[in-house]
Amino acid sequence: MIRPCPSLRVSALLFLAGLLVLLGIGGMVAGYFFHLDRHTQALHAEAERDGSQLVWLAEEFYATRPELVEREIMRHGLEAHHVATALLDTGGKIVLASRREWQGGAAEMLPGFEADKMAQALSERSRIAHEKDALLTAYVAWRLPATEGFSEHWGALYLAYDKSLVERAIIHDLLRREGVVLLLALAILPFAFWLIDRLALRPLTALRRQIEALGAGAHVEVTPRGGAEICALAESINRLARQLAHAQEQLQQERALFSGSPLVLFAWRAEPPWQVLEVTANVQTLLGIAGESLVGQPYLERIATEDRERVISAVTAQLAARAPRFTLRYRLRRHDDSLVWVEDHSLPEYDANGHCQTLRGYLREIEAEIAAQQKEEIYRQVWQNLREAIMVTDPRGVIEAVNPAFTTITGYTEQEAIGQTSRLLKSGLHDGDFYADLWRQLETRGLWSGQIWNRRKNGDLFMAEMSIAAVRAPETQQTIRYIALFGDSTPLKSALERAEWSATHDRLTGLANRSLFLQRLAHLCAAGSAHGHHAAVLVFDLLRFRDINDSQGESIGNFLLSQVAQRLELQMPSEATVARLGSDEFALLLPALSEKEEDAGREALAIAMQLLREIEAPIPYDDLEPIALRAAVGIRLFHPGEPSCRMESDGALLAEAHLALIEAKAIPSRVALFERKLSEAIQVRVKTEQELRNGIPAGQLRLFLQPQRDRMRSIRGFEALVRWQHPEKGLLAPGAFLSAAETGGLMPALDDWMLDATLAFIAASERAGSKMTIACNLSASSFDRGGLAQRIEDKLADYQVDAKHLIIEITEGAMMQNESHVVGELERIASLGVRVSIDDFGTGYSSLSRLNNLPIHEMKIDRSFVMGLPQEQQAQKIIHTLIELADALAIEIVAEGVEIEAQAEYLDALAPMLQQGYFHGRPAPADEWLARLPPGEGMR
Amino acid sequence: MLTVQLGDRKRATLEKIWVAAFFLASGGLIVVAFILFEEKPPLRIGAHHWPGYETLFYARENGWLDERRVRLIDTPSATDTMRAFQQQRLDAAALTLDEAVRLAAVSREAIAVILVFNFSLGADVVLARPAFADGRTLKGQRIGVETTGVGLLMLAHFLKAHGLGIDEVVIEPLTADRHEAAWKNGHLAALVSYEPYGSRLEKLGAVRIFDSRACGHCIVDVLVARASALERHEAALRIVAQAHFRALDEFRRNRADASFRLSKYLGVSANETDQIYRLLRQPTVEENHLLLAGKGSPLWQTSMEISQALKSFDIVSEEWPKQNLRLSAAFLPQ
Repeated sequence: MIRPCPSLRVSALLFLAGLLVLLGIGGMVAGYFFHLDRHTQALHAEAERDGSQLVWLAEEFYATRPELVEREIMRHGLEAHHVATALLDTGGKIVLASRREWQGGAAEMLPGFEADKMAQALSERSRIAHEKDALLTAYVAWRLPATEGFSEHWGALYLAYDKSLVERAIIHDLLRREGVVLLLALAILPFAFWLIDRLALRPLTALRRQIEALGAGAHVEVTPRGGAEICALAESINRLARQLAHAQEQLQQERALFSGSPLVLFAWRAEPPWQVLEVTANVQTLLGIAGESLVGQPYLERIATEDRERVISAVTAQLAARAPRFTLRYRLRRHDDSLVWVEDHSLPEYDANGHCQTLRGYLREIEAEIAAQQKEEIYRQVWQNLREAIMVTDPRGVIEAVNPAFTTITGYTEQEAIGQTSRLLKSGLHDGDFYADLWRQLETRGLWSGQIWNRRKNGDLFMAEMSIAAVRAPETQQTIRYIALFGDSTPLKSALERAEWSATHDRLTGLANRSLFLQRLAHLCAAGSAHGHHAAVLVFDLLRFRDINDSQGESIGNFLLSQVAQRLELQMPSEATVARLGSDEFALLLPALSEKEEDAGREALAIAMQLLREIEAPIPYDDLEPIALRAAVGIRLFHPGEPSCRMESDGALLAEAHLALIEAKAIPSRVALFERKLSEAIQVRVKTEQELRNGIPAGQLRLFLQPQRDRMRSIRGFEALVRWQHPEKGLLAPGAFLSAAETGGLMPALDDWMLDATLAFIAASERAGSKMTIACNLSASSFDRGGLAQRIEDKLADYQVDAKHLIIEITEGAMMQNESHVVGELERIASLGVRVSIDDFGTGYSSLSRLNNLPIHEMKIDRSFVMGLPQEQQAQKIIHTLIELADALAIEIVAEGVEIEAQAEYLDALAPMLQQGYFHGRPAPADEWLARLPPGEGMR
Repeated sequence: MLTVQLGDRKRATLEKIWVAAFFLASGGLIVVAFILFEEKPPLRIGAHHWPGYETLFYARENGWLDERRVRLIDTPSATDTMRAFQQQRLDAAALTLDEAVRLAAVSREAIAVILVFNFSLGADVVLARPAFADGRTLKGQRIGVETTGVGLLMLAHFLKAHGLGIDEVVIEPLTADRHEAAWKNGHLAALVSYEPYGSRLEKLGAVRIFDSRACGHCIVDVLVARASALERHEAALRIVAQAHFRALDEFRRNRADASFRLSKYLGVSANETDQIYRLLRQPTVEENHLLLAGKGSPLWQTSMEISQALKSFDIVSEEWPKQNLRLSAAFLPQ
């Protein structure tokens, strides 16, 4: 809180008034004492004079004419201050007095009389003056007229005067005089005050108002009013205002000048997002945005998105380094979102602590510069990468610059060439006429082109297809440079080779293509068994690659293919041929294995395993999770001399390797060697696959259900199973067609059918009032396709089925295959309210730590563990452990393969769980169960 | 901006209130000081010791006259009183009516008669040596007289009664205090005097040949005040009038005691004092009211007669301004 300044009006008034009052009172007090003193002295003088006169009169005439003395004494009583006058005899008796009533009385009755004073006056025979209270008294000794003898008798004249009258008179007098002066001054005071107000206060207030108006931006001339000093002040302010206006005008002009300039001045807050504090108006030209609308806005938002991070880190680094100035180049977003390149020269303002609060700087558009730079870069790239040599010489032929291709072709480095003349390359094979012709053409046309023999550094001659251009100065048309461009025409024929190469190679991977592969194979076969070595054809297939391609995009697919190709090429023996046969199919020809068939087979297998490891090693791609591919290998081992090799033109070896590949896909090791009998089994499987492919849409599949019972042996749910009503072979269990479905890629279709059938059954059972849960098995390929959760959600809605009646069963192995993806889908499925069950638990080597994080509600104990019950100790222990595990994970248990009562009872005794197996009921067609379904039963 | 202006206006108003309050307070203070210290010096009344005036001294002795407001001053004689009055040393004076007329005739200021003390019923006398018991024998003789109004008035009446002109006697001016000494000296044939000197001179062998009874009410003692004192000392004058009537009342009720007390002032015995008072008629309040009731009153008549008489001695001029003399009953008790 600032102490308020005292008001000049009030303080001036108080001061003046105070001064006046002080002067008045002081004058009065001083006057009072002065006058009092004077009057008292006068009174004393009067007393002395009266005393001496009366005493003289008394001494002279008392004896003879007492009436004269009495008359004088009484007349004395008329004096203004007189109180008492009395003539006393020796004994203090009043002889004569100004009042007749006192005459003859005792002196004590006189006002102010003191006997001792009289005694003193008598003893000294003199006069005593004394002031008592308001009285001035005097005692004058007088000699009484002699009555007898010569003895003298002395009496006293007593005089008393009233001082109080004097005091009152003085005060009155002073008041009358000083009071009038004071009143007069008081009357003048308002005038003086008015004068001060008029001359100083009002002009000051007006001045203040006008200065405030000035401060608010109005150009007001202050009218000089009031006292000379204030007028002078007003004039100074006017001068200042004029100077200010002039300065402002100048500033305005400078600003106007600046708005035409290409430099845009800025001030920003130093903290990102760099709020704009000031900006010159010519920003309109640069960004198409008015300067005012930019002020207060975050500058960062105007910087192109791609440049922001770079700019922030650059500015931060510069400020941290306390750089006095720095320059940045970046793009700004104009009003129409087009980008413009600018160069930003910033001058940070640091405070005493080295913190920067404000950045000032100017921007310059550098669009043309950037374009020139890019153009230059293009030229530089051309210079650097041109396969033709460039040689720049001065008019005398002294080499000034050469490009890298020059070094490649001629063998001379830049340093060696520069400063030499073009004769450096002279082969000596051309005669004088040749050169004369060359120079003539250069002179006349400014250009020469033709073939010329040159000599490399190592002395080799080479034919160059050369063009020489004369560069002339635009002003003088004088030749200032020669530019020679030439190539080694020797490699020109490679273009033909390139055409041939692309005919025999895969463009994406650069590997041999099918035709080259077959050609090589044919070549090998044609060469026959000359050296007795065995050979092998290996065919690779990337499993589920199509899914990856579909879900992740073709570019990632292509990238993966080229990576695989690279790995194959790097790891294979040099004599091997690696080819890409189809989209995700690769082949490898190993021409020189061991001579003995067995060894050759082992070698081929080893190489195949090595290849699988290579391919299946996760491939990093950008910032995505590394992608792990899976592959299978089919091997056809052969001897170049064998008959089938001779018939290789139709690719029988390759086809047989393919059969082995089909087998390999069906086995865990995913590597298979071709054998004759295998070929037949595969053919059967392919046939089955074909029939199934048609059979699914033809409605040949049947839904069977196997009941799951609780301890009370009542049915709580079912596991859905599939049967194939084969037109020729009758009802087939899954074992008969599942592997064909898997290798034939029919699993998704099969799963879809299962899901549909299951949901249709649940819908029917719900309508019948049952609350059974049905567990539906889904294969890993269903998860691989992606979007499974969405499909389930759609189907639940289609069938209008309560999600809690559906259980999705997935094998532990399937879950572990592509864990993160599968787990993600399972989580989405679980979020629908569908329960998740792990089938064949204990066979997939799940990590316990992971189990805890999986969205599973149920585990199915594999029949292999139940089988040994109740006798086998091993089985018992495992079952116990599994139950404890389920308990720990808080999931439910379904025991599979319960076939005898002893097993059922054993399990019942262990823990509450559902049991499934022949003991509890064989799988039966769904329709039958639906008919037998007790209403209201089930529901776990 | 707005708040600043508001603040300014508020402040200006406050300042004006301040200033106004200041002026009012200062002015008020000064006025109060004036009132407090207004000089009210006491009313100064001069009176010599004439029995008619003794009521005043009696009142002073009894403390009925507040000393701060009324100061009664003993004068040696009427002449002294008159002189002091003329010299402005007195505001009021106890005088005879003729003296009042004389004062009025020469004064620039009006003189008001505000109280009638007494009529002389023989208190003023003309005394002669037994040889001149018959007044007419005094022709060419020396007559002592106090040349106050009363003295000359008595002389005028005496001469008129005995058929003598003023030029036919030798007039020796003589103040009352020197009457006794002059009589003893023996060169005077007659003496115009008044009580108590009259009684004392009779003891010395003087014969009373004429007294105030002979001229009716021509000798009147009154209290006069200058016009300027009427307003200024109104309260004091009332006090004086009231004190007079109170004393008068005391005298009447306790005559013996009063006479005894008065005797010491008058220098005669109580008995003689009583005798003196028989020669005076002291009018009551009611009578006073009648006497002082303006220009038609008996007192006014008397004063005009006195004026005529004084004119004959050339003591007053023919045409003195009559408005200089006033009669006022305003200070009398109701």
